Amino acid sequence: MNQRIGVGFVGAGGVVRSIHLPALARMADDFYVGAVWDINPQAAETVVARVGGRVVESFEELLADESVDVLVVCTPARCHADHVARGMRAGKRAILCEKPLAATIEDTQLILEAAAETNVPLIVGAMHRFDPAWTAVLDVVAELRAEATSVRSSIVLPFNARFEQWATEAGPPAAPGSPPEGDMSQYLMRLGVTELAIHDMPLVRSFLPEGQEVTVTSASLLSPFGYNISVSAGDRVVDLFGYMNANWAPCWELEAISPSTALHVEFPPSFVRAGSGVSTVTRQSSSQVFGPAQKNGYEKEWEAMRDLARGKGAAIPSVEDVIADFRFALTIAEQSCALLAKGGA
Amino acid sequence: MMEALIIGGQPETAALVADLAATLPLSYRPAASQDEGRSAVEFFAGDQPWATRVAESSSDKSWIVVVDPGLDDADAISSLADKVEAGSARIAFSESYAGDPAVELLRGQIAFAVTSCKMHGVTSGSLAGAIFTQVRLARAIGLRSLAAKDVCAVDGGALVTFSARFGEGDVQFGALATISSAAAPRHVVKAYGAGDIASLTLFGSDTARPGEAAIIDATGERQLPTIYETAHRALLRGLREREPLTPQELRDFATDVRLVQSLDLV
Repeated sequence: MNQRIGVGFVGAGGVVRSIHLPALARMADDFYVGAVWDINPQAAETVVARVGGRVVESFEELLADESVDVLVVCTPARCHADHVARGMRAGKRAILCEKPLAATIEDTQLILEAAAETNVPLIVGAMHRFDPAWTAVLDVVAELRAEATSVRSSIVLPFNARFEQWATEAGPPAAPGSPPEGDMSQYLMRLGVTELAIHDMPLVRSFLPEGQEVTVTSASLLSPFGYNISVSAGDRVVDLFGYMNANWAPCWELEAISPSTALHVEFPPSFVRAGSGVSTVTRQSSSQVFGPAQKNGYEKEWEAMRDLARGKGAAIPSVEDVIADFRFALTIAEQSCALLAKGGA
Repeated sequence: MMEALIIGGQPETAALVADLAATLPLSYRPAASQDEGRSAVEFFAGDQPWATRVAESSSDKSWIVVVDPGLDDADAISSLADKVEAGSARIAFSESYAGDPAVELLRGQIAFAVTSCKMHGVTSGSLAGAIFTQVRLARAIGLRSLAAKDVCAVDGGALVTFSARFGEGDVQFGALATISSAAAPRHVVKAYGAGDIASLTLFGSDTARPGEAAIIDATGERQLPTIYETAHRALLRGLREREPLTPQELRDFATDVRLVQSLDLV
């Protein structure tokens, strides 16, 4: 029997409680929570009270804790690169970092260097990349990477609160932070891209030729929260739309179409356990459907962590690839903000 | 008992006329060889230069039905509007998408302020034609004053961003069209408000599949009744009671044509 894998959490906020702990609870034969550190000790204590492990007083103590085999980075994005790089250098068996991978491109250099030195595998928590509905159609994705004409990402969701409540009894919401400094519209655009659109950015990039330059030709904000972005990418058009409003119906779609093939993927909303997405490949007016499967992308992400921690290897993107995903998202965020600064389009 | 009206028209429309008349046998019958000059309804194909053809042929006696009027010389369409204003033509447009009965049904149920609208469609025709279809759909669901803000186009795909108005409010409208043979042609419309969505999927007249319309709000989703009737049949069935296109409606059409032609799509 395999020894259970100790998990160390850096950061103990809503994503840990709503997403990772329920996923780990279903994999109790494989994982246990070894230690938790959060800048807010109460948050760490809440997690430990639920699932065991111990609260540590510093990130250094977490890294030094021998019960921590794999590290999960769920801190604010500005801390990700530092925590990931130090986790690698501490000799952890694998790192799972929540998206976005970093806050700046410069940050990613830290990760790249640490990965090269240590060879510790890194998973970025872009769960749709691990969703069985997506992995079932990777051959079609490769085909569309060569031939797609249009790519459409449309994420229309009710506000998160109800999904979080379905996922877990998360307790009272965190106190709202202080309003950001600087231009609010640019803040909201960046938030839209790096917190919402980011979920599918690696998937969108999969439909573009490697290294393809992108140009945001139009970007605008939606009220109460959302973005509407047009991207030109060589011989592709990319339509990025995200909208959160008070309707009940989540509709999370990704679609790529070539002259002969259409791939449509519909994902369940975040947080909740609703199985995998469903992919539909259509050619000559006939469709082949993949999914839904019982396990979703979060669970598959954790299965990859398990296999990596046990030295079995797993099909995960390279560090260079996840950095390229991040660069892609950041480029779109920055160009969109620049367009907004000029009055939008 | 009412007398069946005789439908004539161009050879290109003969199959459609025969198909429609077969399901409305009490109201219409296709013109036979002995009926020359007696048609009460004349069908015209909507390919270019339909406006000129209609202007040359129209008379006070017959209805002119233009089937899927497409992009054409906007000035010719404006001239047609002038002719209608002078009272010498009764014209109706039979648009596969904008005239689909599901569109009118949905429009009557949009009781919220639309703030953004997204459409995406697959076509086997031209990008300009597909974007024009979406512009016409936008007008059909109540968007007004469209102005192009951005055109992102490649060979086989186009994404156009428009500003528009709905009632008293501003609307962002995005139109995406892709040329593909993967799936049957279709256009999907989503109109969003602060807490509502109007959803429409239309399959045109190339298949017999009816449009799907729904209204979604915080409490649930209401699917509107399926109407098993194409735009063409719905128009013809109601033609006797219908008002002909007004000069303003024709000028609006010309405005839509100019807007899409200004995008320089192929």
